[in-house]
Formats: sequence, structure tokens, C-alpha cells
Amino acid sequence: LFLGGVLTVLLYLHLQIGLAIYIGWLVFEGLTNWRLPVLLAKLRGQDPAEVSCSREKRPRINFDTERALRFSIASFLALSVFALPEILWFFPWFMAIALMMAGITGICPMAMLFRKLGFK
Amino acid sequence: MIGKHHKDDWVHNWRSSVAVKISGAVLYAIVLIGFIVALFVLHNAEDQLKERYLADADRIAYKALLLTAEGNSENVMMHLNPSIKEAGFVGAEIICCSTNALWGNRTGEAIERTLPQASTRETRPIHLMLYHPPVQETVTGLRNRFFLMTAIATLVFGFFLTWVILRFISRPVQELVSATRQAATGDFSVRLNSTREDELGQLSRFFDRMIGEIQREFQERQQAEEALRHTHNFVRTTLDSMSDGISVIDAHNFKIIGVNAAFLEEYGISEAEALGKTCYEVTHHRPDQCQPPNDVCPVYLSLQSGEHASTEHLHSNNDGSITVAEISVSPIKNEDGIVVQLVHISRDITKRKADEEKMRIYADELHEANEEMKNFTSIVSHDLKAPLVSINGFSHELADTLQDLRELLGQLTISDEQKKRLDECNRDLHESVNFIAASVTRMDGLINSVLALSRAGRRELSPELIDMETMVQTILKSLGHQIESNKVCITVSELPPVTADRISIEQIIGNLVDNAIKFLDSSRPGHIEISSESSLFDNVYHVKDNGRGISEADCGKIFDLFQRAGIQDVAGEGMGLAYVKALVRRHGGRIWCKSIKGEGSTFSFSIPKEQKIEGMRKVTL
Repeated sequence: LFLGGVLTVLLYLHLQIGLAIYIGWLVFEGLTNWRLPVLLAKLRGQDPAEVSCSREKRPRINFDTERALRFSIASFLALSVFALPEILWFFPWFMAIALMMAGITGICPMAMLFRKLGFK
Repeated sequence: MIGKHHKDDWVHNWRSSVAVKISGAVLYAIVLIGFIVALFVLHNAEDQLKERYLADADRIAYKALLLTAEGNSENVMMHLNPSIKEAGFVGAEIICCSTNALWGNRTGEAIERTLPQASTRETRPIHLMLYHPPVQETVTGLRNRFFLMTAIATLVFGFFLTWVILRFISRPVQELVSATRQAATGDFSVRLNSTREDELGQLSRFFDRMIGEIQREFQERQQAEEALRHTHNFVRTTLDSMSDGISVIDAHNFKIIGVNAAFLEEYGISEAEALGKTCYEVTHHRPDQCQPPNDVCPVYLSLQSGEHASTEHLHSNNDGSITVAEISVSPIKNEDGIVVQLVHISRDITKRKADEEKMRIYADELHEANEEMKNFTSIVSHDLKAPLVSINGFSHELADTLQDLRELLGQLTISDEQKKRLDECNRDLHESVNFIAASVTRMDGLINSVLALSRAGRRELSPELIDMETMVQTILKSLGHQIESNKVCITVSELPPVTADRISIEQIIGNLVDNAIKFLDSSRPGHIEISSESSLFDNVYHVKDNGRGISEADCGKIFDLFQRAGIQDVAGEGMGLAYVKALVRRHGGRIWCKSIKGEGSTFSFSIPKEQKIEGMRKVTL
């Protein structure tokens, strides 16, 4: 929900620099797995595994779905905002709305797809 | 009704709610469709906007041309202003000859139109510059607003859809889930009481009915369990309270499947050790079964016959000692009559057997002593009678001789002094002979009584049903002379019949009535009352008089041999009550006396109702 909200604001205000930072932030989270929920859980003294979305008991790919999701969002954003804005002008908004809906409903088709592919 | 907290459970994990999931799926579909539509609609928005600006610019230019042709060139800008604003231009400029009219500002992108000079005086063309916002920014802003509104509308619609689903589907289902959970914890008082007419309402009513049935069955089961528990406790307590060791044996493999506390105590093992072991392992400490006929096994007997079996059995203890057990085995049969289990009741009778053995030895010794005593009594009585007869005969002979001697001495001439002396001797001799005769008579009576008592102890009794009232009347008739001479009033109450030896009962009652008459108090009219009372096991008969009475100290002695109480002014040897006591005891009864000296006595004796002919006791004195 937070990711979707921030992306919506950035898109509405048409802040290209902000979008670049946003993409960088997602890449950073994807690389380090220092995601906000994990960091908050650590600060609260909770087990980070409790906030993990992993439900696959035996993942085929030893990589977190959440991290893969961040990489994919960053990639699509970079592609649609900076590389092909004329063609994929609608895609950032689609991602922003999808992220917000995923945050609210807990249903993320992209995450489901990644889990289906074998990410943990 | 279920509690409010149950209704709101979905809030705590609302992402799991079906409503949210359905709404999410629907919204995703809407968003997807919306984006596809937007893609088609907005993909060439820039071109469309550009074309619109160009078209508006042409229209405004044409309008400007007409105005200048009409000679309103000075006020062209004023007339074009509404059209320019309407078209969304932010600025416009008309450059005509020396005049230059500007409206708005020169920002954004410009569209230039050149109009021919309608005036003949001026040949230079008119330039119309129209400024509009950058198309790219306009379109981007338009798209952003569109998507933002789409997002907001989607969210609002999503919340509405979620609320609808929650209101009409999820919440009733959640209530059903909560009620089911409440019922699963054992609280069957939960009811949904739904008034809805749809499928969920029907489901709720079916749920209420089902829970009602479950509650009823649960209560019945609880009551049954409680009754079963009570019965189990009762049976368990009863079994554990019993002193006999009880075990239940599986008929198929002789393994013990249940024991009571006495069994465990008897064999010194715990329940865990006993259960699962065979009966012979526990009771005999051996791996093999009892081998009949040498080793008679009551379990085997009961299993073979299908009936109750009872026997004495030797059991081995942990320490190797042997105990004698009285075993009683009863079969438990199934519906087909096949023995499936056996109830094994064992009682340790080792001590009892030892006591019985001791008693048997004592009884043998007693029997032997009795036999010796009988012979002794008989022999002594017989042997005493012979010299007594001699003494009696010779005392009579002596009396006769003394009479002859007295006659001979009477013929002699002697002095008075000698005569006086002779008379004294004669009198002393006569008294001595009389005393000897009286003593012999008394001793003869005693010996006869002892012999009679001895015979009474050995006589075979013949029990028969006796009409006691008739018998008492017969006895009283035989004692009629004594009764009349003593002016005794005798009252006879209702007397129940009894099964006993007729002669013995006649002698008992005759003796007691005779004694009552003999020992009446001469200072008051005699009154004798014969009555009875009946208990469950015996009849008790009373002979009550208002005679002299017996002191409390003498009451216990009068039933002994040769014992008499009170003033000895009535002839007798003190044998009557001893004789009566012996007869009563031979019938299995007892005799006792209650008396107050000076007021009277009550002699009572009991005769058991059930007389066993073979079992009649032989009391030997």
C-alpha cells in the first residue's frame, strides 16, 4: 500500500527525479532485502520471517518473492517511465493502482505469479 | 445469539475475508478493463489535441478574416476573445500592418496563421499567432487526472463492493463460522435466529435446528455419561470394597482384563502388572495352565461347562509360599451364549483351613473325651449302684437283726441302769440304720438321675410337628392333682406349633411347670402363665410364675448339675433344670431365666423353627 501510494503521488506530480529515486529504492530493497516491513520488524524485536510473504514450503528458486517483485517493479517502471514513455505511458499508473490494491486486498497477481514460478 | 466480537472477527484478518478477495478480483478486472479502454481512448490524445488546436486556430483565423473584411480590423481581438478562450488558447496576437494586438501571453506552443489583407489600401498579410499550453504536458496532466480519478473511483467502488459482500454474504457466513466455533467449544446455546429468507437464512435456520439437536443429544449423552460414570464408580467402589479378590479373565487366552483392589493386595502386584498377564502367571507364577484332573482348575471347569464353578485351589505367592484359595468362577456369555469372559473370585482361606484343621483336632479330642465321659458316667453309675444295692440290702438286714436283737434283749433281766443304757444304744443304732437307708435312697436317686441324663443325651430325637397348645393341656392334665392341691391358676396364651422331639418338649415344659408349682409362694395365690413369642428364626416359650423368685446370683447356676437355689424345703436333686437345658440345647435352642426374688420367675426357652433332623446336636453330659 505504501509503495503504491508513493508511486501514485510521484506519477501525479510528474516527478521524474522522484521516480528515479523510487526505482533506485526498490532495487536497493531487492538487492539487500532490507525492506521496510523487515526493518520495522527488527526494530520491534519480531522475527522477520513472520512478516515474510513466503508460503511455499519447498521453493524451487531460493529467492524471495518480495525481492523479485521489487526488481520487476523497478524494471517495469524504468522501462515505462524512462525508456518507452510514449508506448508504455499507461503502465506506471497501472502498477501504482495494482500496488495499492494489492496492499489493501492482499492479492498481488505478480507475487502469485512469482510464487507459481517457484520463488520462495 | 452470538457475541459482537464474533461478528467483527474479519477485521482482525480482513485480507483473508472472502469479501475482500472477491472485491479485489473484481477490481483487478475493472482496472484491467479500464486501462485497456484508456489505452484505446488516450493513446493518440496528443495528436487529437494538436488537431483540435489547429482546427480551432483555422476557425479563429477565418473569423478574423471576416472581421477584417468587414472593416472591423481594429476591434478584431475584442471579437475573437471569446472564441480564443473557448478553444483553450492562453494567448493570441494579431500583427497587421502597423497595428499589433495581443491578448493573454506568449507562453506555450504557438500556431501561426497568415490571413490575406482584405483592405485595398494595405497589401501586407495579417499574421495571427495563437498560443496554447504544451500538448505533451496537457495530455500528461489529463492522463494523470484520469488515472487518479480512476484509482479513487476504483477504491470507492471496491469499498462499496466489499461492504455489500460483507453485509449480505460474508457477515452471515462469518456469524455461521463464529457460531460453529462457539459450538465446537461445547457451547450449544448459540443460535443465529436469522430472519432472512435467502439461502443463508435457510442455512442459518438449519444450523439452529442442527445445533438444537446436537445440544439435546449432547445433554442426553452427558446424562448417560454421568450415569455411566456413577455406575462405574459405584461398581468400582463396590468391587474395591470387597475383601475377595476379583478378576475378569478373557476366555480366549486366559489373560486378565480387570481386577479389584483385594485381588492386587492378595497377590501383591500392581494393576499394570496384573492386566495382560494370564491368570496362571499371576496366581501360580508359572507359564503353564493348570492340568486337570490332577490340578482342578475352576476357570477350566466353568469354561467347559458354561456354568458356575467353585473349588478350593492352591495358589503360589511371589515368595514361593502356598496359599489355599476358595475359587468361584462365573462365566460371562455373549449374545450367542458363548463364554467370552470369566469372573474369577478368590478368597484366601489359608488361615481358615488351618483353623478348621485345629478345630477338627479339637473336635476329635472332644469327641473322644465325651465318649470317655459317657462311658465313665455309665460305668460309674452302674458300678455305684451295685454296692449301693448291697448297702441297702444289708442296712435292711441290719434293721431286721436289730429288731430281733431288741426282742432278745427285752427277754433278759437287767438292771434299770443297764436297761436305760441299752435303750439308748438301741435308739442310736436305729437312727444310724435309718440314716444309712435314707442316704442310700438319696444316692440311688442321684445315680438314677445321672443315668437318666446320660440316656437323654444319647437318645435319638425324632422331630415332628407339635401342636403346642394341645401338648400343654395334656401336661397340665397330668399335673392336675398338684395344681388343684396348690390352688394354682394357670393361664395359657396362644402357642405356635413347633417341629421338635415330642418327648423332649413334654419333659421340658413338664419340668418347668412342675418347678413353678413346687416353688410357689404360700403367702399368695399361685399364678402361672404360659405364653410364647415368635421371631423370624425361632419360637420362644415362657413359663412365668409369681413364686418365690431366685436371686440374681443364683439365676446362672440353677441350670448346672446338682445346683439348687433358695430354701431347700422341696425334695429334689438339682437335676431337673440341667436335664431341661440339655434337651433344649439338643434342639439347637437356648434357655434362660429372669427372676426377681420374692416376686416370681420367668423361664424362657427357644426352639428354632427349622429343625434339621440329621443336624440335631447330641449333647452329652
